[in-house]
Amino acid sequence: MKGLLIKDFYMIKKYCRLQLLFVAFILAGSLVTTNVFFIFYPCLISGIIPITLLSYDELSKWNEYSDALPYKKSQLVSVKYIIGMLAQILVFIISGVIQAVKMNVDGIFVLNNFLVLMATLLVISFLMPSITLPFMFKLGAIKGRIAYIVVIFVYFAGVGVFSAYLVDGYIQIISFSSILAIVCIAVIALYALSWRLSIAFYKKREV
Amino acid sequence: MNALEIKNLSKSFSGFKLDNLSLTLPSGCIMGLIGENGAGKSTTIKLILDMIHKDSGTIKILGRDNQDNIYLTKEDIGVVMDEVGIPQCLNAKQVGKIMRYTFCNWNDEEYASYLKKLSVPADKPFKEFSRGMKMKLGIAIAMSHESKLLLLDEATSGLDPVVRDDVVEMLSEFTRDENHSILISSHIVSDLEKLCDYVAFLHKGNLLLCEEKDRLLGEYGIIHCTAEQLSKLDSKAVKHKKETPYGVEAIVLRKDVPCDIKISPVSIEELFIFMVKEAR
Repeated sequence: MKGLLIKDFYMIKKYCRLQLLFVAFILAGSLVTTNVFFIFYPCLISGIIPITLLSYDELSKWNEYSDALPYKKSQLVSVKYIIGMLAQILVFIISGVIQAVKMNVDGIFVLNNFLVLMATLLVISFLMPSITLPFMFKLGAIKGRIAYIVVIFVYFAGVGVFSAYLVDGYIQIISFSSILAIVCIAVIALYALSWRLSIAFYKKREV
Repeated sequence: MNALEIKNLSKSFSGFKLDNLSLTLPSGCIMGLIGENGAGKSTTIKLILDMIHKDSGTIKILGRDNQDNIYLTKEDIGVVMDEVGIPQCLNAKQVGKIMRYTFCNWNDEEYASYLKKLSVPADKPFKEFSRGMKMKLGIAIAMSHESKLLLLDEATSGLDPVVRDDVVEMLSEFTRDENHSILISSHIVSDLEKLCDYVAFLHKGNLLLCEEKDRLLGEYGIIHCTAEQLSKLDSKAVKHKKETPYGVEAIVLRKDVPCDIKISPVSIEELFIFMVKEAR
């Protein structure tokens, strides 16, 4: 498995460099603006990293070649979920720290509001790969991208709904917090389920 | 022990069926899998590695069923596919580092020596490699982890004649150890003729023949004569004939041809073409 992780880190360094620079730029931007795009977009991008890696794997036929190497199918799948999880957690923590500092500096830090925001960021980070990856492992990177488009659409619709409740960039409706806590647990459970589903799909898939 | 034992292997796709394939590759030997494009060579190799799932039959690799923890068996197999699937951005040095943590028996010194022997640059990204160079990197990887069995799918195609000769020499050297074996597929029959102990002819998913090369070459011959001379021969002896305005060329069974007729050696390529035409 270590070999697979090293390979994916080399690929992130080469192919996701621009994505990561963009994330850093947006994160920096989120320090000075309350625009939801700057708050949510880095988490959305972090979830795309394993999807990008899978697409490049298929392009180079690594998915075929790796099947001839001494790896279990479950390892070939798990490496993408692990890489994704590391990226998502890292960006989630950085975003959280930035928002906490900003709320404090602006003198509007309220724990409930902050937790609601963090829950939203968690959902945005994990929902995209949870839904998209099983499709990609079942149908391949090209066809699997249909799921990716659907999730993007759902996100924008979701952000539209949330925006209706935003005042000055922060969620004011506290009653959402309990609902979002449940949603958070559901999203983490969905990620775990997605992981298992992808392994099952990939075991059956003929590359 | 046999390096590879395939019994009654079948696999269907829409428009193609690999039908009831049985073949055995003894340890220490090289078998050439010869067939036209689409004959089922790559399918056979993918089935051996369980990359695609068989419909029926059994496959044993180095004495182990390929359904039992094949990922462990793959430690002992070196594979070169018809397209070496290394990510485009990686160079040979980075690939070496990945493989060090992939194979338990990875040998860095051996890998470096193969790269040098095959003139593969260590720092150049894979996307800038020619097809031949990609194949050479694939071969270097396959041979650097103490493999006992090499599965090579069109591994010599795209190589220039000099490098091809070097690779053929390396593969011959590999099988000097009686625990080492090679299954190599190609439609470039001349390469396999130099290299193989056994040949298997595949045509549209059917195995036409699996035989020791020398026995095959001893059994068949080719004669050049007139149509009248040919008509005097026992019809059982003549397996295939080609008539031209200058005479007749025929592939014959040596044992059924009278001693006074001069028989020339037949090549594996000529035999293969004859058998495929017979099968049509």
